[in-house]
Amino acid sequence: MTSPHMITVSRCDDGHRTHPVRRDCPACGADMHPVVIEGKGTVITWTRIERPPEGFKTPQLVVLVRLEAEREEKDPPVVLAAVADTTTKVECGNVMLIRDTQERYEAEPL
Amino acid sequence: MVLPPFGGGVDTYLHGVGHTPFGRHTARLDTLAIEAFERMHGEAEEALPEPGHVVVSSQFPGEYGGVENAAAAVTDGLGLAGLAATRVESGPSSGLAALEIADALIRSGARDTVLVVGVETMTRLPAAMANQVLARMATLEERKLGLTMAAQVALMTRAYLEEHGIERELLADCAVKAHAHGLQNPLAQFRKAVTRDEVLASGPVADPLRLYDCAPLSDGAVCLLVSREKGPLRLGAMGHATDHLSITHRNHDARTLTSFRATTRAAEEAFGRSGWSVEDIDLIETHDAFSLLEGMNLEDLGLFERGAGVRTVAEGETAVTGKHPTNVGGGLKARGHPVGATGCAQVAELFWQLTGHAEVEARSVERAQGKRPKKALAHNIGGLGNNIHVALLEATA
Ligand SMILES: [Zn+2]
Repeated sequence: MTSPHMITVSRCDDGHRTHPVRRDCPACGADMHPVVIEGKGTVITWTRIERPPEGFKTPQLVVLVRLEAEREEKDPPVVLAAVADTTTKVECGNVMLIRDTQERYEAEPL
Repeated sequence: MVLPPFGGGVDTYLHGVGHTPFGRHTARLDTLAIEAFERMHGEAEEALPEPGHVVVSSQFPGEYGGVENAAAAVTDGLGLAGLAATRVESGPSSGLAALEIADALIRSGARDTVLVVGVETMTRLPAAMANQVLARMATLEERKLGLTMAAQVALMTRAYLEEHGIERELLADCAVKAHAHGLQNPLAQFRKAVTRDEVLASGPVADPLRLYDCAPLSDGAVCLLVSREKGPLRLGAMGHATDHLSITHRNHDARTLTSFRATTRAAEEAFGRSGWSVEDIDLIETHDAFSLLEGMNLEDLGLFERGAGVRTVAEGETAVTGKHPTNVGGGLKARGHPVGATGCAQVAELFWQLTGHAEVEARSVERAQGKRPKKALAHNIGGLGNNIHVALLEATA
């Protein structure tokens, strides 16, 4: 559990998980509680932002990663993360590791 | 789904509309509202009923327009001080949110007649600042990544293209179609045709979206006058639904990235209350802020099969001459998208088309189709599909 690629998601008693953490389960409405899981998964879509909002460098590279299901089958959580090296070649299906820098979530190729 | 009617027999009718040109204006928010109001009275063929309440739709009057307390400011500017006045916002679907509130005021018996004013001035801020303001509609976590609305839709667009095996060029064709309609609308921000190659060569915004895949920042105002007195258009019903603010919280839905289920819910509510179905609709105005959305929205509304929307739009089926005319005024893409005014502009277009008004002579659905449309639908999206309205309208003549 010393890997830097552990992130906190929310889980309900029925096994639904989602990210970022929230109080109620989007799937069933039950209370959720935080659980720490490995931030490893597959890119399902991405974009390179060439016209970011004020205050951001151009470009920004953002991926949406579906975390690996581990042993639980229900709806693996998806996580939005920035790729710090914006020259990284990204394709859907790439496996990435995600960490929480406290500032934002960052992904890097495995 | 069958829902009970509400309103105890009271119906809401649309009597008149007024629409400024959309584009870049130097006029203040309240001045633009006056122009729309004067246009409404100028084009009315009969005396309009007197409103008892003004409902102002404006999403960012302070940030964009430098005006707070916008309901009172606009109402006083219109010479209507003394009336009740309320501002509503639900993101870029604020225009139909205002109509929803007006409808509820009328059906509840609180007011006989309500003036709806949709207005926004967005072009004064530099684009990066304007986009930062728009990005505040997203969650804090998303904003920390530099995600704009365009970037969020870019994520969906790539997922849609991959899931359905659609060539990117077809999205360009959707923008080409919107511009072709805008060319026939004297009030549109973009009155020029574009080609597929021009769309594909326009500047990158958020891959795969380019500049011509995106609606512009716009200024503009639109007034709608609604009343319980019988008028040329009846508001059949409205539907309204929200969704989780972040798409990541919709992960239990297999269609998270390729649909807005709040559209489907809002449409089901509107159809359930009216007893109509999508097959009854002769003319549609849908929220095509990005090139993906006309096709995807028409899937969510139940008109097209999943994965068929973008291709069907690209093939011309939603052109003014097509089987399902949609966004014949150019849509958000070409007409422009002053966020608080957009839903009202959709309703104005439907009013003109369903009443055979001279304003839409150059893009008349009646002429293109050989018969005047009778039933119409407006669909207005707030945020990234998280606050969505549908309005159904019917000609009474
Ligand atoms: Zn649950």
